[in-house]
Amino acid sequence: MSRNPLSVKALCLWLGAGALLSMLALTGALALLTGDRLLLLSGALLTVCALLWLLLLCRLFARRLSLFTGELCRTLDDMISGRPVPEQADDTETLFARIRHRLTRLYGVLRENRRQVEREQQALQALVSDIAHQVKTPLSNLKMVSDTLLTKPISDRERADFLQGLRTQIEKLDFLLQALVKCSRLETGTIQLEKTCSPLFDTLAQALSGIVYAAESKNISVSVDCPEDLALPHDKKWTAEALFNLLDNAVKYTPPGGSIRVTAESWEMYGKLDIRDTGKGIPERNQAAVFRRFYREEEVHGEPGVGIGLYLAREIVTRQGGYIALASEPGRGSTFSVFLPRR
Amino acid sequence: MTFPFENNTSAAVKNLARRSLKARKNTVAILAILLSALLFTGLFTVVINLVSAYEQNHMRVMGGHAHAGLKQVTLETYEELAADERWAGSGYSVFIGKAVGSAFAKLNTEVRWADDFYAEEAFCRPAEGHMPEAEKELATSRLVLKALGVSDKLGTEVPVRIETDTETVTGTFTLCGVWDGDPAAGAQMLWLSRSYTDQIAPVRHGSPAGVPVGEYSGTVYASFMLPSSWRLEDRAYQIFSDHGLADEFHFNAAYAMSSFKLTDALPVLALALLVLAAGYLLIYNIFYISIAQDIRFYGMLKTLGATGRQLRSLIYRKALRLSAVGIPLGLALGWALGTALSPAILGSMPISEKVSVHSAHPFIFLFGALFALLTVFISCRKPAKIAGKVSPMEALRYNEAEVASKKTRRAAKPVTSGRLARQNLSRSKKKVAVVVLSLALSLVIFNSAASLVGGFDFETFISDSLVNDFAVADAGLLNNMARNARRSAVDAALQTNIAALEGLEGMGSVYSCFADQPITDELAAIIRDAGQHEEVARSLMYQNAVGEMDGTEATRGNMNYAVYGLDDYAAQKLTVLEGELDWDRWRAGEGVFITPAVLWGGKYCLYHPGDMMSVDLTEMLDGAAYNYWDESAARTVKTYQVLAVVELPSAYGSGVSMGSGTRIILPETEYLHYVNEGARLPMLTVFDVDDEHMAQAEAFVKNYTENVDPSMDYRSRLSLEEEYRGLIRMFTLVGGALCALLALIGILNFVNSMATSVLTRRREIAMLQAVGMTGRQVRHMLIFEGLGYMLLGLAFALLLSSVTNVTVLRSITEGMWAFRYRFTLLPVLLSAPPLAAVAAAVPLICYVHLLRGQSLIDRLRDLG
Amino acid sequence: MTILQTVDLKKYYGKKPNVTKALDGVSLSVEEGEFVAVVGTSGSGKSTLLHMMGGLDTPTSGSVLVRGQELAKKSEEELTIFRRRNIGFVFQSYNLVPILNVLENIVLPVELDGDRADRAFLEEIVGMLALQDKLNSMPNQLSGGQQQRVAIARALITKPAIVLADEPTGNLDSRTSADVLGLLQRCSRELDQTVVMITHNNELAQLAGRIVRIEDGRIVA
Repeated sequence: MSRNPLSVKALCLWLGAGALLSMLALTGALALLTGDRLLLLSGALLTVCALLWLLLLCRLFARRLSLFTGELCRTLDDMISGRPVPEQADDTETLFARIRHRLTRLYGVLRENRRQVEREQQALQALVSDIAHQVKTPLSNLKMVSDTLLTKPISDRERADFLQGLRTQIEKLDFLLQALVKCSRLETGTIQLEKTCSPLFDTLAQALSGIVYAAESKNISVSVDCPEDLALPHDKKWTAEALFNLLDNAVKYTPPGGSIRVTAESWEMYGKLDIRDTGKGIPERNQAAVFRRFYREEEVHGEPGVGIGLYLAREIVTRQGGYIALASEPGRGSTFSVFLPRR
Repeated sequence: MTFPFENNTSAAVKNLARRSLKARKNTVAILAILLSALLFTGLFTVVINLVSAYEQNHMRVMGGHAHAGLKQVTLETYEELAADERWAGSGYSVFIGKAVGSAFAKLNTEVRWADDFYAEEAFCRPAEGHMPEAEKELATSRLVLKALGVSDKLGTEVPVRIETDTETVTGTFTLCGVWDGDPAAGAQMLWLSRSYTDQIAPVRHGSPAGVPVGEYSGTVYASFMLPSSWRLEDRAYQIFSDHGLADEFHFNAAYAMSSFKLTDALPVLALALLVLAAGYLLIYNIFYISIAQDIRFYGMLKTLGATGRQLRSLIYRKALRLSAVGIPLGLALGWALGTALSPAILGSMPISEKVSVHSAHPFIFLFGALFALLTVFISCRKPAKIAGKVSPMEALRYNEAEVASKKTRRAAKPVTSGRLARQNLSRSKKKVAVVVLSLALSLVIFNSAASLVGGFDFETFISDSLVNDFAVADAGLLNNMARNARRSAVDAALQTNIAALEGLEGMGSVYSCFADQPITDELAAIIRDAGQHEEVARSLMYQNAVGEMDGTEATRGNMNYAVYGLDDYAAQKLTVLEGELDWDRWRAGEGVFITPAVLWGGKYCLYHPGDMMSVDLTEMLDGAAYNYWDESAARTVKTYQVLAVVELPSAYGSGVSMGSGTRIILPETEYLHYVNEGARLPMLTVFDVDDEHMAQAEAFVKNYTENVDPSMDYRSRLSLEEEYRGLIRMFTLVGGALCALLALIGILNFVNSMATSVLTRRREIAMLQAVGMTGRQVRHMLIFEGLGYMLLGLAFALLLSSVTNVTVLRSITEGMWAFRYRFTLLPVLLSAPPLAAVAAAVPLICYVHLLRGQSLIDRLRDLG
Repeated sequence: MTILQTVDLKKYYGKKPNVTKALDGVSLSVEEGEFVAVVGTSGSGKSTLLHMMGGLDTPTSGSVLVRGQELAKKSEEELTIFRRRNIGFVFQSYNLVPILNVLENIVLPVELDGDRADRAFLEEIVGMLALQDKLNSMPNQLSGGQQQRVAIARALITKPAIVLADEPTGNLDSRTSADVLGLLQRCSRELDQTVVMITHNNELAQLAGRIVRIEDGRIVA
């Protein structure tokens, strides 16, 4: 728009003038035609009357508009200063209602952002305390062993045992730290998931390579049925990690002699990968919980692991726009289904 | 429209309306709207054509299109009035006399001088040549020249005989101006120069406005025009009264349309309402079906957030778009139809000659469109409301509740198609009522229209002119009721010839003359009594008569009666109003029959059966020698008893009447006994001929009046039939077409109702079939329902028609002159078979086409 | 914050003694951004609950509050407009407008408000639901799954306070169901949209963040 549109005031004045002139012209013409003076008079009166009402209309509009503007400004001021804004119900078919509706939404967004920030801070705090908590045990172990080594006289063989124990704890700490770093990086978005369209088969193979040994040692058979041409956009490294976590989980919770079946299919919107194990299954009340951070079932406390494998896996998958579904019955094994979007 | 600060959501609604219309065929709706517009426009076209025809006709008969006029005044009177500035124009003519001669027996011609203005407004301005200037110049119409047997080339010598008040003048003039002339005009004009006029009929001067009654030559006739025709009569009257000429005010009745009375518009309004009702029913039904079919759609829109207002707006927009297509077409077609029908309808009205009517007045289209739009919007209101009020659940529910209808406790009785049909009907009483009523209404309208059209009676139609097969009389009398037409005309030769005709069934004579009645005290009393009646008191002729009544018997004036003589054959046509037709006493000359005072408000009668009345027969006896002024002369008075009050057929009347219009009817013998020598011939001879010899008789009479004795003329049934044949045929065709149209509307309406009733119950029917009802049973159920509607509708129609026939129809036909009232229910009964066919066929077709196509599951889900 | 709340919601049909209790005192709150699944067998009252939450039906007693506003206090027109701006629906039978094409169907709620859809947001949703190629098609040219995706897009376009899905996969086969549900969940997460879904299928309910079980008009466990 290069030209300035007419100001409303100018518009009103032009319209008023137009109305006046046309009404008078019409009256004059009719009066001339019929030669009736009464017509002229009545025409003039009508013109005046009409103009008066028009004037009234203009003023009322102006009033209404300025009232609304005032209200709007106050609301905006409240929002700017962070004061709470009461919800105003305005479900009418008016322009004001539309504006108010959006204002309300804006306010909601602002508030949500603030809450989000709070939540993130809380999450961070929780993470820190989790870390502290998790680190406590290995650290105290380390302290104890090193104290013993420093203070007590021990045989060489005992020393070797102790040092071995130290080593284990350090490894544990290392493992824990790495996992936590991964978690935090993922959560804070420092890690960008790079999606490339590549066959799922390769990623799966990579993940499988990590558990083959553990499965063999537990005498668990692993069968894979994945079409080689099934390609999806996904981050190979992280997805492999996620799949590894799931497979690892499956191996952990399947008793020796069991089996793990991996099947992949392509659906309209998603590629689906099922990891079925013949483990002890997960009761319904725990099914949502297994994906929580640091969750571990009681029986496997001895095995290495921190309890964030599933959590990580879900985060990776959902951040790629997919999801993980769990179908499980106690005593019947579990099936983890990984859905990754095909677009 | 969206007001300021209102949320403007019209774009979405418009889009929905547009798509919605594209989604399915809307031909039916458009046709319905078209029909409405067509009917309205046709109606208005015909009305406007009629009105303008009447106006035109009036003007032509009046002989002018000036707004107001003066008759028979002095020059000064005219000049004073004409000087008033308020007139847009004025002009005058000086009356000289009448053209006489055999040529003018059948062509009433006035001889005058006129200025250009007057000639122009009288439609008698020379198209070729100019108004007479030199003394012996003459300008006239081609009709006059043809009657005179003279060529119409300018410069031709034209011999004319002119009769003024005082003398008869002959002269030969040179034709200087000529125009076509209008056969419909009351009189032809023959203009002469001013100089010649001054010689034989010098213009009257003087200040008293009026001129003695009976004096014409030299009087001034003037025409005035106002600048606009708005409030014409009042303004013109105002000017006249301002100059003290209120009594001389003559207003051109043709402009009476400006002072339009509401009562005149009533029949038109009634018809318009009828069309509105028919259109409303049709369009309402169509929209209702459409809404019912789409109810899920509307429910869904509601779910998504469309308000009731938006949904209503959607419906109205759809209607508007459909109207945008249907109304212009309807306007065009309606106008064409109306223009085609107008001549036919005009023909059945008492208008003298063919007047051209091709009015394309914008009001026709404006009002046609307005009324059609009105109909459309009224019809949409209810459907729009239904759409607006739809519950969002409508889109979600499967209406199980409705189908699991009354778990009738009479589960014991077997479920047959017929029983189901009856249950269905009794379930939705409101819908049944609507359908039945609309069907009945259309049938009633159809019946009334058909009765009306069928009630046209030719006999009555021509009864003003002819009540026998033939009538012969003086040409002047038959053609233009000339003032000086011969009342004693049918000579012996003609009578003998008629009597000798082959196939003659009967022959009668009607005699007529005048009998001046001095106003005796007795008569004065009777007149005063008459004046008590309001309509008598208001009539102009009565007021004239009263003017004669002042003073005593000696000083009072006279009142004129017409005396008729009828022979037995003619007397057969008398209809009695009061009393008894005592033929013996009448023939014996003891009593008379009299007619009501037709000029004093029509129905009032001065005498009653049993009264003794004295009739002054002096004028009758003396004839031409009668001296009005001689008061000393002896008077012959006979007293008769009034035997009966009768009605004399207008065909037997001589037209001209004076006084009160009372006619005394004597038997032939009595009449001939008293009438003077110069008036012993019948005024009118009537006769009937058998069908075989009708043509022959016609040929004879035609030949006789054209060649043997051109001073005589005739009327015959054959010639009238011929004249009106074309028109009557057209009228029956038109009437028939209208009736067909109405019947069609009725049937269409019924079709719609049937279709709705099936379509809105698709799911229900599918449900029935799912539980095991066969297709055949469903079809039977639907057919029975349809027949049920039809029978109910028919019954109502018969009832309502009977009522309307006796009330409305009767009063309409009484008001219409050529229609006889007939009670008939035949049209309703005749329409039963086609309706039954529709009632059976439509549900079947709906079922076959629309329902069978979808699978049962689809229908249950109504996914389509 | 609590975006939807029902307080002791009751819906009774019929008159004594044949009273059908569709809902018998249901109290529920949903936080912003949650994906809640309401699970129950047919006849358990879950559909009725959803209809109440969406203002499509009025309760016999109790109240429904959306964004703190009580629905029962609104007039018919106000409720309709409120629904238009604040609630999105996904139905079992898709309920697309057959005379409009896919794009028009999606933006219909916005256009009914006299508005134009936010271009960028529209593209984002259409992308997520893989409907770019189908924008000009008519609903009858699409498969069930595709139609449901259009319905989801339509429900999301106004960024409503809450999306109510009534058995969204009821008419779909298991594959398409999983697809659609996954999308619903993804949309809920990525757009931070609150979704309440009704289903009788336990497995599918899993995908939700919270499961609410309803039986005989009451919430259990």
